[in-house]
Amino acid sequence: MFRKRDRKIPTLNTSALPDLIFTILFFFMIVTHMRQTDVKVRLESPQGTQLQKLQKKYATAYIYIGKDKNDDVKVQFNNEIVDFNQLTEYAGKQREALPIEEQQYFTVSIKADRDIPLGVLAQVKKALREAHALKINYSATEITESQQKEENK
Amino acid sequence: MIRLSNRLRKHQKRRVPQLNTTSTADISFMLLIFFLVTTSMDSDKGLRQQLPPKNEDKETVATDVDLNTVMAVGITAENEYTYSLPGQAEPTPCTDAELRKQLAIFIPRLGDKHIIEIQASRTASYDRYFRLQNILTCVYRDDLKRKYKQRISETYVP
Repeated sequence: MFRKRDRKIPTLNTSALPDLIFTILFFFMIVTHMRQTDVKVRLESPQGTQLQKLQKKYATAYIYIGKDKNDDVKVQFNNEIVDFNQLTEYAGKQREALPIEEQQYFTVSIKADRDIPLGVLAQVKKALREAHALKINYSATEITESQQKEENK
Repeated sequence: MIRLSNRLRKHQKRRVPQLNTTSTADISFMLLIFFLVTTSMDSDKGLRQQLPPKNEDKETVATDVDLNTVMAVGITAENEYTYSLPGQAEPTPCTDAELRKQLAIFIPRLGDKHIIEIQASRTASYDRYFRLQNILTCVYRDDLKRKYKQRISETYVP
């Protein structure tokens, strides 16, 4: 009476899947950038409400100030841990590597741990002044003002 | 004749073979994961500051500063804020909110002539210093906003 129909699960058409994935891939390739530095010190950055975005990434050097395994305060310039007296030389070198018209934009982004003593920061700033790297940026994580008020309580 | 027709038929049947693209998705997935791992999206944010240029001269020339325009803000070794208004001998310890209030009164009162002196102990923590910078930026921005508002209301004629 009833003809037995040939019932098969219909296959999903996945021919557009690669295109989809490629679109996501291109999105990520454009909005992200390669990790240049590898943080070798332990640090917890401070929180602020009035932060500005860092511009001209190509003209930026990164300094990380934090603690190492033995809880000693260490300074990392870009990718390596340096001494205070080397800092001037390194910063100066990177500044001079930029084309002359870009040198005025040279910025040093300082990412320091909350608990480091200010004496260390003063030494770093002194070294940067000697290297004519006068634009600095205190890197921090952004919070809203209401969040900050709650924390103060 | 038969052979020829056979050959013709064969020729008609021939099609371009389809490329097997099932693994393209896997390949692009792998590329995607590679990029996700090796790149970072974190946008660096922070407070900008300009350092004073290096002093080339051997001698430092002292400049006269009117003490009535200086408000001193201090961070003690115990990580406490203090402030002293012009004419005040002893600095007063204060909290974040109090300091902000005092700065918000002091800065607009003197306008462009004001000087803020920051004295921080070498052993004080960076967090305190950063917060002070944050408070200062906050106060200056509020002041600027107030000035702009005033200017707009002056020029605005309904």
